[in-house]
Amino acid sequence: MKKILILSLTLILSISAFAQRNVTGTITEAASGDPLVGVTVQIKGTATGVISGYDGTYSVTIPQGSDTIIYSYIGFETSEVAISNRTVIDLALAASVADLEEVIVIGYGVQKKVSVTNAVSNITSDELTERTSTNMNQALQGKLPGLTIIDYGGAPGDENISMRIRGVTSLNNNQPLVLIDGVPGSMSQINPVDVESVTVLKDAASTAIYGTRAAAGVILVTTKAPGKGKLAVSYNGYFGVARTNNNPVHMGAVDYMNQQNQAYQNTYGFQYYTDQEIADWPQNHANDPENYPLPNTWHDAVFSPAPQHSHTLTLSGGTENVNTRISARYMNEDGVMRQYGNEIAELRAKTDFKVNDRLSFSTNVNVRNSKRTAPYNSWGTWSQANYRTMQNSQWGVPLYEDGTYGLTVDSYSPLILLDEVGHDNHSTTNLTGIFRADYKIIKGLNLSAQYSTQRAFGYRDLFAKNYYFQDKLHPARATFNNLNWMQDSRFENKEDLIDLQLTYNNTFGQHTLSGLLAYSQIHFTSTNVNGYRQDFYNNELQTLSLGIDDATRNGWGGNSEWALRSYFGRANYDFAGKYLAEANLRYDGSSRFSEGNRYGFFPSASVGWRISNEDFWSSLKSTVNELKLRASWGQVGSQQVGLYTYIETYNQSNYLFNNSLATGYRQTDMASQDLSWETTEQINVGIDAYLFDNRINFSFDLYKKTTDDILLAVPIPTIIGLDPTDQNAGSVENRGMEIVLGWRQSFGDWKFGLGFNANYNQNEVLDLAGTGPFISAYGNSDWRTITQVGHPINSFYGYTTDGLFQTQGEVDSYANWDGSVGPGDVKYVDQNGDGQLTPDDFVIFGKEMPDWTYVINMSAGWKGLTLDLFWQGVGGSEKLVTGATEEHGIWGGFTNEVYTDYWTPENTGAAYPRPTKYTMKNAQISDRWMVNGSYLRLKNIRLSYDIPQSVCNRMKIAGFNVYLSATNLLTFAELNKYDIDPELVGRGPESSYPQTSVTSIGLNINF
Amino acid sequence: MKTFKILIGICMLSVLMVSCDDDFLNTVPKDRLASELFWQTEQDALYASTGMYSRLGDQWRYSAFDAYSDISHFILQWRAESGIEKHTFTSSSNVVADEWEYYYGIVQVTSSFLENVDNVPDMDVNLNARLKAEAKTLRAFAYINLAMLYGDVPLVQTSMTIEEARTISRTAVSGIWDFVSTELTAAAADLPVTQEESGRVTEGVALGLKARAMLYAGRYSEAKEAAGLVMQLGYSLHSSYAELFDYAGEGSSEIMFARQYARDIESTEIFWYYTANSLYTQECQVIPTKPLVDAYLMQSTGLPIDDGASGFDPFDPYTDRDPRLSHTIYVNGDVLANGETLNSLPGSGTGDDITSSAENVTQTGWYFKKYVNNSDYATPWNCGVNLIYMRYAEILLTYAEASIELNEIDQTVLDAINGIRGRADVNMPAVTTTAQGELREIVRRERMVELALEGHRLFDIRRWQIGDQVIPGTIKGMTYDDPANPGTLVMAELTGYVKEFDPAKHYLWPIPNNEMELNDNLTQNPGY
Repeated sequence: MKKILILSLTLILSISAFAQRNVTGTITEAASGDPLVGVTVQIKGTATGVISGYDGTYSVTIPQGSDTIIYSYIGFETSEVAISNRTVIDLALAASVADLEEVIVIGYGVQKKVSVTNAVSNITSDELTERTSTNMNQALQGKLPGLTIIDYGGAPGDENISMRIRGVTSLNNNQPLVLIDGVPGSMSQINPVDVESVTVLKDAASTAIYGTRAAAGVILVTTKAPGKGKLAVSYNGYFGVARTNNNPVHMGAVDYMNQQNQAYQNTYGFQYYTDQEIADWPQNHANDPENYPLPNTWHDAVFSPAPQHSHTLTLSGGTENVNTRISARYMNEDGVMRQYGNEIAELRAKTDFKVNDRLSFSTNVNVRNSKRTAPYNSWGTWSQANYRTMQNSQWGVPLYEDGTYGLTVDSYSPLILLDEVGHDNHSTTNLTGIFRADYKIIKGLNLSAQYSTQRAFGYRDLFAKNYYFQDKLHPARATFNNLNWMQDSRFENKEDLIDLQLTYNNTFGQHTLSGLLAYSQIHFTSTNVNGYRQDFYNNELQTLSLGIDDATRNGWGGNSEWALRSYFGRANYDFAGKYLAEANLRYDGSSRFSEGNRYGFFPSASVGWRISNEDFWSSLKSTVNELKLRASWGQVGSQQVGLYTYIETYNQSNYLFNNSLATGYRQTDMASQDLSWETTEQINVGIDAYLFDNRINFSFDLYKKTTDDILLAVPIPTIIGLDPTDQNAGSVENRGMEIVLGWRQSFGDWKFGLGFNANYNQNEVLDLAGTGPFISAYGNSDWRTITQVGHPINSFYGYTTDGLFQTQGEVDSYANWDGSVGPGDVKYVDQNGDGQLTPDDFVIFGKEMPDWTYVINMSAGWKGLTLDLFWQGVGGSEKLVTGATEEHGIWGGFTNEVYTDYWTPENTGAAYPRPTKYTMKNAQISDRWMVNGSYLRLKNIRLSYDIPQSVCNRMKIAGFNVYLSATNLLTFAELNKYDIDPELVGRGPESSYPQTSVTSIGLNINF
Repeated sequence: MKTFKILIGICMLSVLMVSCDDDFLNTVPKDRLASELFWQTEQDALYASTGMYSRLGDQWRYSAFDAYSDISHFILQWRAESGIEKHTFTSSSNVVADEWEYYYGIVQVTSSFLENVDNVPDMDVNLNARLKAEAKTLRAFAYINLAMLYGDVPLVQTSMTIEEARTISRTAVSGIWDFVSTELTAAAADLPVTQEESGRVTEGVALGLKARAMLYAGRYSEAKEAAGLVMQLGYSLHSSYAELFDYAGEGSSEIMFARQYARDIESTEIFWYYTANSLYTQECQVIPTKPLVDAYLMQSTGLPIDDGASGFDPFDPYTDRDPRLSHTIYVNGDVLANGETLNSLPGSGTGDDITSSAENVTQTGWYFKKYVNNSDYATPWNCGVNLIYMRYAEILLTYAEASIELNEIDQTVLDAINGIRGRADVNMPAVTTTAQGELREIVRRERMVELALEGHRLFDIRRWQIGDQVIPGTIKGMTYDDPANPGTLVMAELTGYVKEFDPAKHYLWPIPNNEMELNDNLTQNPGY
């Protein structure tokens, strides 16, 4: 108690210490003489410190009894200077060699960047906060070589984001393992402001320490450490407006009526609209736009600019023995689609306690409340409102002048589907608590224990309203739901993790040895309970017990459990900072497999050679400051299978006898008792270099990743009568390379930076254990992929085409889709020449997975002004145009302007086939609807300004930064033609919540 | 040092704790039942028998079968079902694969029951025999449809390993008919005439399925014999045809075997499936076509409408027709469930205008009425009416047809046909001819109209080999007095929708492509 009192006193004293004298000065870079911004100027032995301003100047108050200043800056040698009686101290700091001291987080530890022998990439907080993003996924996109993040769009709080490290290794789950301060979590859970660094472990040698869950790579997120010394307060916030990116352009009304007439003529032999109707239409529309509306204006009605804002307040500081950092965030994001929104309020507190030189404790607590609002969507994940904006969407007036809803010819209104159908809201509370103890047994030997628990409590509130709407001008068009109902669901997840580690690190002359022995276990349980009632008194009384109390009441629930137990170790050896070696072992057991198949063994090893530290390099050292060769090999596992799949089980499956329910049981899934680990083996060689006083950095990696015994729901003959479960089958290979190139330099007040990184990856299925090929869908679906030996996973599979039929003679002499095919229709290639179009004529004609993913960062600064541009692109990728966009008015869907160039006997060189009605003959899955999916996108542009230190000083604040930023401003892609976002997948605009472009203004203030 | 000891102690303890806990990785599911724990009691056997019935199909599969024939039409042309209807499908059609999977699902659950039920200790012998007989009956039901759809099919009678499933070959269709006949004969012996729990199969169902199978197989004397046995079991025809497909008819003695449904418990969307677009937009899937509507005779004369002496008036086409037309189909002038009158004429301005560009509007001008009950109007997704798999009228028609094919024409044959035509709310003139050819046509027409929308037509077309006569061509609908040009008759026609039929291949579906890919021992049907 006494001790704590003294500690607090020290803290207070250090803050309010009486100012004795001032020291000012300018800090410059030794090599160039340029001023250095952001150098930490700290009084030795105290918590007092300041940061140098944009012009390199600083001014610091020296407490009584202090006489030494420490100048430190990342990438430079730290310098201690005695003050004596000076009041002006100018200093030139020398760059440290190749960020020599930079330490990066690796699995279960940290390592000097220069000593790393594995393929890892990392970034720190400075680079992360460059971009306005409500979540980490967006903040990280394109920042880390080898990590491909694709933003498929998605409603606020429900973003559909895919992360892939070095391609697709498995046929099932390819999401990497994300650990936040060592605890499994999800990227979407964390406040970007709280993140200190992110490390991506790419090769097997770096991930093997995570054994079973590491096959798709590992991402380590470290939150900011508690501050030392003086209390620091900072505010980070932004306000932004999101807009939809791709606003599809519909054909003009007259063009559309003519096109539809052609379609009816070509299919049924009559015209739908009379010539008079079409001729009168422009005037009619001008006079009476409600009776003569445009064909499709839903996009404008459904989407609108949406505000978002985020505020984080951080308090950080401490004494010699207790350091703490507390951050609180409030974030609110509206959807560009009506009724969508997301809100997060969270608190994170991280505290370190140093009991003595040997023993320390730390705690890390995160409490987060999030609430996601969305309209009730009867289709589950697919938004019906989106779909109806594109499909069955013609000739409706979204809102009449008098405020009533208009409906389409097919009686739909996306507006009603958003505004009137009820809601489906999710509220979740996440609690994470980490408690850790570190004990230094003897010099170099440390023992640490960590216990963490994560709980998630969720509440899903789904209320479907009853409603009736009729179009006032077209009474035959009506839409309604005459039964309101509610589903109230609650869940609780609990994940407990225990880690015990013994680490050793010591140097004997030129030999440095380090090692790790560890044990880890995870136990996860989940329960849920759900209630249902219908026929509520009205749409406002939304409590389960107010629904009708009859046989329609329903309640159900479930629970599940899994566990992992692991033993692992690591040894590192470093000779004179030149020769580096590392080995890892992990022995993992999973409850997902049957006894006997339960444990897997995952080894790895890597070596490195720092050529630049060799004596013979000394003459080159001034040019090539750092050069390292690396090589690694390792195996990791994946346990991505359903729970209990090895147990043959009976599920409840009921029937009716005597008109009342009879309980039944039957087996539905085939059990696979022999199921075991999927194993990924990876070889990696790499080179890292820093040149010309570290102005240029360069890194290159080559890798080959082979996944064996893939866990796969292999299609089995349906004659078995049971659904397939996962089996170990086949293998997949990913080969590729990564290039990182960076340059930074200053010229006077000017600073420039250029960064480029690229990943080339080729995916190939090597073997399917005789089970393939796997074809995703047959029939009239508009998406079909095949997984076949010798080709990339999920290659496009269908017909190839040979233009359009031009004459009846041509039609008659070739295989046809059906008897209605005529000139102007698509000519599908009859591959085997049997005169018929059958699945035997399907071929692989493309793939979506890109060959190249690349990123270009550009920055230019002048004094306090900095302009950053971030470009992202992919190459060697194809997309299939699907849904209404592909169907060009065959059904009552959105008909893009591009389709005015359709085939007629007069326009035989048309880009698109002749219009037809209610037939998919021209919209089969084929290369005709495949578009180059490559794109280059200005992902982010940001202009920021650091208020000069002198101004800050007058304002009595430590630093003030203001920025303007915009995302997704500019995209070069062939897909622009169809107004489809290149990052979208699947049916494109009609199935997904759209991507947005966010323009924002932000503030970062340090008090 | 003390803290150190405590810390080490805690660590040792926790390691000890976790290591002793051998069950840590043995997670036992609590939300499902491991098979090792099952088959212990009679109750388990009953549970499993109920599980078999739960595999019986829904209305989608049920009535789509008539849309693959000539009597109805699948509206949504983007669906795979449309390809089946047009006969432009290939072995990769989803429908071809789904039906295969569905029927083999029934084979799996019944075979698994037969394999395991004897593991139940001290089970009542009679119960054991009865439940096994139910399993065999359901399995035979699946094989009858498999044989009719695909011809030769693998004859599976036990649970299979993946390896077995990848090497099994097809059994000739005659072997399937032999198997079905033997199994159903055996099952009938162990089944009661009535079950305490309605919904379970009975002796009559087993014999009735045998009669159906033997008729399909062209083994007419066996068909006649089995039908004759059913006719001794005490079934009778329901007096009202309309009521059979409404809630009031559910307990009728005529209904032998039906998919059981009940509102709020296990319901169908059958109302939605056939609904007029003016009641519910974007829902109607299947509509009647001209061949069916034209098949209903004139009531007064008993003659077909294309017979000059029939009294048919094309300007008043629905008057004096076989009343089953109005029990089965909504025509213009009929009152819909909402009290409005159906008007599908062009320019009617209703939601049923055949020229509307809305997707789910009837294109023939008609909607189905069978199974569409006004009491389901408010909640069309919550229909509880049972869907009939077998009723006594079919047995009588089987008896008649088999007798006619055997040329054993006597009064019992005429009684069978006239019983059906003579229901109180049908009341068609009695058939008196005994000429084989005439009777053959009569019984075929009776099957078409009496059993419309009950899933028989496709197989009848196949076994009568009339596909090339009835299937090819466009979809045709009502013939109406053109409102724009009174006095002129116009026929609704989907001119762009051309159905095909190749007699060399289309009497069977192909073996699903996926099954072919996974099993080298399977052969494909001709033409695919």
